[in-house]
Amino acid sequence: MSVTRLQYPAGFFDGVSAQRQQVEVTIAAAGLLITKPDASTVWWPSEEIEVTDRGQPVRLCRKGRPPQELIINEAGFLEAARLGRESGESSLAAKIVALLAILVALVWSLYQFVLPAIGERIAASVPVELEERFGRAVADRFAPPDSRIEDPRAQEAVEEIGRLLRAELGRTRYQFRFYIADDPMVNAFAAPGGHVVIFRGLIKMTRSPHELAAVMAHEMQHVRMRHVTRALLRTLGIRALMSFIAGDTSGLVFDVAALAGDMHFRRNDEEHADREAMRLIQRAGFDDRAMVKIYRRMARETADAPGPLQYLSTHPEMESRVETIEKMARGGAPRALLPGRKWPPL
Amino acid sequence: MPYCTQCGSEMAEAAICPSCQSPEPVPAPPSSSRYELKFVGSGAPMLWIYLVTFLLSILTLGIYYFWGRTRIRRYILSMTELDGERFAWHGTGGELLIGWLKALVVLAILIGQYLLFMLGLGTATGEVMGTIILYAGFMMLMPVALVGAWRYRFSRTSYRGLRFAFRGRVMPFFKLYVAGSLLTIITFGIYFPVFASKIQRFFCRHTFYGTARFDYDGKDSALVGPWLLALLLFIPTLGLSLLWFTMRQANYQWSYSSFAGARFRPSYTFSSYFFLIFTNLLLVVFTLGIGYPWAEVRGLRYMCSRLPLEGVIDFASIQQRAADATATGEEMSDMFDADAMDIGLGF
Repeated sequence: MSVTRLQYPAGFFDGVSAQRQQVEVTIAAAGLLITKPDASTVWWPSEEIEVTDRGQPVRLCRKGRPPQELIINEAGFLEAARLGRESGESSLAAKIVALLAILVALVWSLYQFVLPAIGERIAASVPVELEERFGRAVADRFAPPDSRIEDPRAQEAVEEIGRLLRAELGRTRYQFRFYIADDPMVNAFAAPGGHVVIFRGLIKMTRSPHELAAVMAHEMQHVRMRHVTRALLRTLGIRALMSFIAGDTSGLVFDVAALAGDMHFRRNDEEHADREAMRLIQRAGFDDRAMVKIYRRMARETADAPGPLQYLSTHPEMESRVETIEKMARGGAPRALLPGRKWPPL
Repeated sequence: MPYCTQCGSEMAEAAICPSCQSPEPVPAPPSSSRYELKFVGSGAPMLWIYLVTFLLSILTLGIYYFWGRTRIRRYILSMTELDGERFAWHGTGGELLIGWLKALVVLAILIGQYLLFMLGLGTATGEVMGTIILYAGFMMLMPVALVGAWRYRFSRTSYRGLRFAFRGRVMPFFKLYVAGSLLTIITFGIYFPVFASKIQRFFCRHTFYGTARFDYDGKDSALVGPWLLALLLFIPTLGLSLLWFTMRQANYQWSYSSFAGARFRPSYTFSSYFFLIFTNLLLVVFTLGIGYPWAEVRGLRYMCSRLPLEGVIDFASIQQRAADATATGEEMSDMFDADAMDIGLGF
């Protein structure tokens, strides 16, 4: 058994002068006794000692004001003074790898489970007026009022289809408004609160009012099931998480309307909206085969088209979505929709 | 009784006494020496602190972040040495949290008015009004936040057992800052190097180490020429001229700055700094961010190793000022004394 050494030479700063003093440190039961060359002593009680550096040399600081410092250049001091161990870096790499793995798992589960759950909770408590207001801002941003088509014939057709669908939609807190954007893209989107924007390109592509009704039914179901608000809150949560990872909260001071630009529905939401749209079409007595047709055509169209066609954009998924609604389609005789009109109305 | 003609001590006959003839007793003027600033930390321990901070921050809904920040600072300062002695950090996570809460209240007011304007006046006019107030508010808060952060940071930093202290007041700096910002805007940016020089002077002349002080005696207008050149070459050099100017400015400002009577002798160069930034970028990108602490270490090494001091620092004569020793307690900190600069509130 080795005898623990109790006395060590050390450098000392007394907190009064910047001059370094050479002292002798004696390890005692309740602290450290510092003896200066002139035999005067300073007592550091254990509870005020903080180890500021466990490397070589070891550095200690006495908390309080002014701070006093001890620098001990000899190995074994920390253990002898029962202040822990001197640092070795051998195990650090393994510790870092383990922690990294934990972090990746944690962030992934946050992204996958926690954020959506929180988004859901918040979405449920967002008042309709706020959604409505916010939806207007989003619609104004992505389809500015001066770029909308004010064609009474087309508008009337859209409104009429919207009215018939609304009648079968059941209870919902939203008032639907339909805008036609003067844009050749084959696209439509639902902003929160019932603002539905339909692009010129989409209307031109439909071969019957039933086809347009299918797309509108899909968007209206997104609104009814609050997918938009949820997706937005999810995007917000992910942003928050990202900026938190980057340690920069300024990412949270943002333009919420612009945020809607990089928002995505989840595949689940899309499929859900598809199924509900199909049911809505059938309840309204529209042509459910038309829905299958327009989906097919849009899938083909967007496969060839360059650029960001968000609507129905991912292809393997699109295939299975078309299959799903195809199975649901019953193909009965549809009711007449907008009889005697030239189609497309644009 | 005759005296030595040099030192006046009693002698048998009038002459120069032996002690005055020999060179030893005449105290030689202290020879100028070089004080190296060095960062001796390494990447792995820093990465460890970052990862632990991140994990605990998630688990504590962000609260731990402030304590993690404090650990990083403690590590960085304890691994920085001047003339072989290390610095030390004495701040706490609680102080950072309180500073953040103060900043949050101010930020909430600014953002709140923005939203109110937007919703109240309709999008177009409301956005303009709200945005103006938002930016004006940030411009006014900036000097207040800067002084608060400097006060906080220096008062929590020690070296050789003595505390630093920043004693600049908010009002004079506020005036300096607002006037400088406006002049910079009015002159289309030409005034900027003068403004930066004034800030450096304010900063140095109010920063103390015990009884010793920093100083700056550069000329405010010295860098107007290089600045104009940098602006002129901004487009042809794809913005690199700004990087060149930053280094030029750092060299100028530090070489006219001094600490406790010793002058800084900076040797930053554009090429070395560009190389550092470029390689650090590669280091971070190709390790998917894991290499960030190593990049930080390289940056700190660069900044420190090229900023030695030359002259005479008489450490024995530098004493702790009683005021600084007590001003570190929470009870003394006034409402501006908060660090909102480092915690990303959009400043």
